[in-house]
Amino acid sequence: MDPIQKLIKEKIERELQARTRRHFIKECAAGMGGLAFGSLFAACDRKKAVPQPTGRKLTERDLNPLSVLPPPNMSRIKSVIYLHMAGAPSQLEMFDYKPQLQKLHGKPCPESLLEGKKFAFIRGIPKLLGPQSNFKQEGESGNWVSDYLPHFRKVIDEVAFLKAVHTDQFNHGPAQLFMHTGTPRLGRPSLGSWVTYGLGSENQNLPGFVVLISGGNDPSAGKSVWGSGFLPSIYQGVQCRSEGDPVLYIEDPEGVSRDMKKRTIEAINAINKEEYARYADPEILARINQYEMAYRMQISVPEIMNINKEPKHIQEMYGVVPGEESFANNCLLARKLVEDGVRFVQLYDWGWDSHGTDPSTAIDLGFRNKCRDIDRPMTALLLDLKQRGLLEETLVVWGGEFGRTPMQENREGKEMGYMGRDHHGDAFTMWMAGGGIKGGASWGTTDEIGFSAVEGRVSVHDVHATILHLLGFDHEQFTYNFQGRPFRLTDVEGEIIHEILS
Amino acid sequence: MQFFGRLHPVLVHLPIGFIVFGVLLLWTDRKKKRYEQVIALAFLWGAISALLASLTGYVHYRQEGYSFSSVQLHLWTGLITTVFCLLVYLRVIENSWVKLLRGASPVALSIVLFLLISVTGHFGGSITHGADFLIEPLPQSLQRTLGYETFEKKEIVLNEENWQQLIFYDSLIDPMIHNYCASCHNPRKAKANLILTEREGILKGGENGEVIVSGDLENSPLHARLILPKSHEDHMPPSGKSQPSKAEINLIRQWILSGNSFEKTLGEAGLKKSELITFFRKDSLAGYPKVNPPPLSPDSLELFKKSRIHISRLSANSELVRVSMVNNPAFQDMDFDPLLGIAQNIAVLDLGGTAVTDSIFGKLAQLPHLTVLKLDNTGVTGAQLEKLQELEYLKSLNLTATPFEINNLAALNSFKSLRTVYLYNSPFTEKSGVEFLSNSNISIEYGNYSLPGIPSDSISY
Repeated sequence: MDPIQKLIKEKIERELQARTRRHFIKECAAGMGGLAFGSLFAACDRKKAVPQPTGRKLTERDLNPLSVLPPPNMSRIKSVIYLHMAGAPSQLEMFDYKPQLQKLHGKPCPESLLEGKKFAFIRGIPKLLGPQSNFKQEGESGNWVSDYLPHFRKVIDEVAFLKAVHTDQFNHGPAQLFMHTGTPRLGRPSLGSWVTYGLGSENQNLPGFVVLISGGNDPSAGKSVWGSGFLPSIYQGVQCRSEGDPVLYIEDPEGVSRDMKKRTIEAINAINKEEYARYADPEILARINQYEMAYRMQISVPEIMNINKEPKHIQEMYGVVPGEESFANNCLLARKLVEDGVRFVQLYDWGWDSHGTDPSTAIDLGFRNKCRDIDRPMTALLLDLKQRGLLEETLVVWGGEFGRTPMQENREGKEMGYMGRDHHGDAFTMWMAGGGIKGGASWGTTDEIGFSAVEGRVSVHDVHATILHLLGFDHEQFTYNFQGRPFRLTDVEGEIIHEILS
Repeated sequence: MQFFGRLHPVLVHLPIGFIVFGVLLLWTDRKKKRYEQVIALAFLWGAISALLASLTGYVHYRQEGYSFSSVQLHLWTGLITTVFCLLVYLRVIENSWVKLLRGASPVALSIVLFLLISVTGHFGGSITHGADFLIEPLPQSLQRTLGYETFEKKEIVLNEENWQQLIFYDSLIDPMIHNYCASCHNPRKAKANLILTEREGILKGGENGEVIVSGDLENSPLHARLILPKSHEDHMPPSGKSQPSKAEINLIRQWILSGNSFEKTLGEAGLKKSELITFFRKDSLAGYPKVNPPPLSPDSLELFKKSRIHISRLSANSELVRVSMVNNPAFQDMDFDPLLGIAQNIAVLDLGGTAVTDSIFGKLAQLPHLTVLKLDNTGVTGAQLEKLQELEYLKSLNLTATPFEINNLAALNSFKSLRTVYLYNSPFTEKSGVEFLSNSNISIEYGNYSLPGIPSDSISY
């Protein structure tokens, strides 16, 4: 079907959707009644014949779905920046130091560990793979960090580590969905959608939930990881690009001037206002607002997405390359966005799936390059937020969708040419920094080879509960009614991780 | 005899059937009077079967060891119903013995009888099914309106000062049992004959034996069943009921390990603070003052919205607000005056990136609850900064990217609660101005961070 036909079809369907039974009956009543009684009551006050908007009083939210709502409890933070390493980085080369694993390098993995376990690619009995990086304790906290992240040690006392996060998913798509929507299946709203739904967003010229992508690919789970699920679609993430137009179709088409655009929107809104007078449907008011916001966004989004205006020393600190798509650019953009009142900024960096099938996915080669590419930007992001006073009101979350095995991958039972690790969800590292977080904390320990948790095992739901807690929500009370029951981001699970809170 | 008594639950349904049948017939037949004989028969058998039910009921009560107080309402209403049913029968057949009911209409009498049998049945059901059997499935709000006391979770809170002196059982275990176990294992319901709301019950155990073996976790179902997978049939609390947290399960564990004493204190049981961290009261104010300013009127909010001043409450149960000019860069000193109308409410004020000048300080001094103040990216030099020293709660002051003058820093010394001042990108160089500062509570964020290049930055593997 060609695009125009598609659009026409969609328009017809939308019209049919809008025409509910109530409208039909109402129009019948007005039409037939009008025919019959029009002449009889001609002398009556006409105003009373026009249906008046009835029912509940309109709230601010009806008019503007992104208007700010207070959280149920006092919150420690205003915004969230979530750095997701799509593909799942190896905790064993970054933060979870396992000297014993080094000693056992090359030895077969104890069979007791493998019993009842499922791996994506490992078959039979794999060999253990010692950490390929060198670790050092840094900062006052003495937390471990590897030489793959030489800059990050500068901010080690700002972050709180969760070293024993676990997930029950071992494939990227479902695990990413789980990490961002609370369930490995499609259809639920993402964390950012929940937050913008619950709190709205302060800046009325920018979207409340912005998604930035680097690494050359979308996350495996696709755009659903920033989808709004059953929440109104206004709360889904808006993907902004650092290359080309920041938002698709944000430029006025050729031959359409700004003035013309303004007049168009005014005309559409005038018609919509008439519609509202007829049906009193608050959706129409929301739509009027959306047109106006889109018009304002055309100016403010390209402005905020332009990192060229940042001073040189800031650009250098992040290591940005203007005009290209990179994690560094996105980190700088993330700071600019939260500085301007955006509620939730979600970054995805692709390319962390270090199986060791080729140099680019080898733990000591490609993975090391990936570490280098994020080390400077994420360190710079924390420092930059800190010096502007934004870190006290922002939460920065870092993590992948799962971790990686302490064993060398042996795809199809064969020895592989490069060092690689398979998917592993039993225990992996995440970190958080910012408002309400106890900097320098480290919660959770893994066994001596880093296979599973010994203490402080936390689930993905626990992480969600903690993020919502910092934003002022009780994750057990924060619900949305859908298909006859209230839904929660944390479903029936989740406990706040008090150990990393200040 | 006991057998005879146990026929009671069967027999009680006979009078209910007969009486309801009689009442319905009487109602349908109130005009035509075609079934008078049948109606009489219904009430006759109603009375006979009610007598039988009463007799078996009495035997049942004597044989099964019910206390009189628990059955007395049912017993009396049952007897009254039986007698009243007989009277109605006599009235219907217009027996001359009974004169006292002559005046009353049979329909009215039968309705009273219907109410009587309903009440009797309800009291009977309450004995076997529990008094809240009918009420339980209703929504909590409806239960409260009906005047029933609903279950309220006990909040477990510890204090920094005296937590070690608290009795382990009283302060943690009992409230936890109340929250997660008591709805089934209480004296009235006692599922599996287990009562966990009393000390004796905990020690006695239930129909499957003891629930606690001191110091032995594996043989103490009170702990062992908590840690079974939720899908396991024996998992407690049953799936669908609210579940204790890991920290709470650990409490039961520690309690059993320390000998499940009802007298030991937390300190004596050897609990570490790190295990209890979730039970200490968290500062629910997130650092904001504990004050109750007057509520904001929707009209004034509407007015501020029109002048593009963003105002939102800090939380749904607080009247403190956050004010920001995020979409209003042209905001000037004089635009501030209307905000003095809500001076009591302002806790966070973000004037970053606006056109305000030093004369704003005089106005800001009138905001008694101001806690966070952002003046970044403005033209303030701090000339009148000392006017803010009376602000009791001001904690964070952001002067990033302003032409702030170094010697104005001295004004901060007399600030009461100030903790952080952001001076990045101002005329300050690293650490300059500290000589003016004698208040050691204040830390200054000079910023100007850089990440100097290192050789590994350019190595590609």
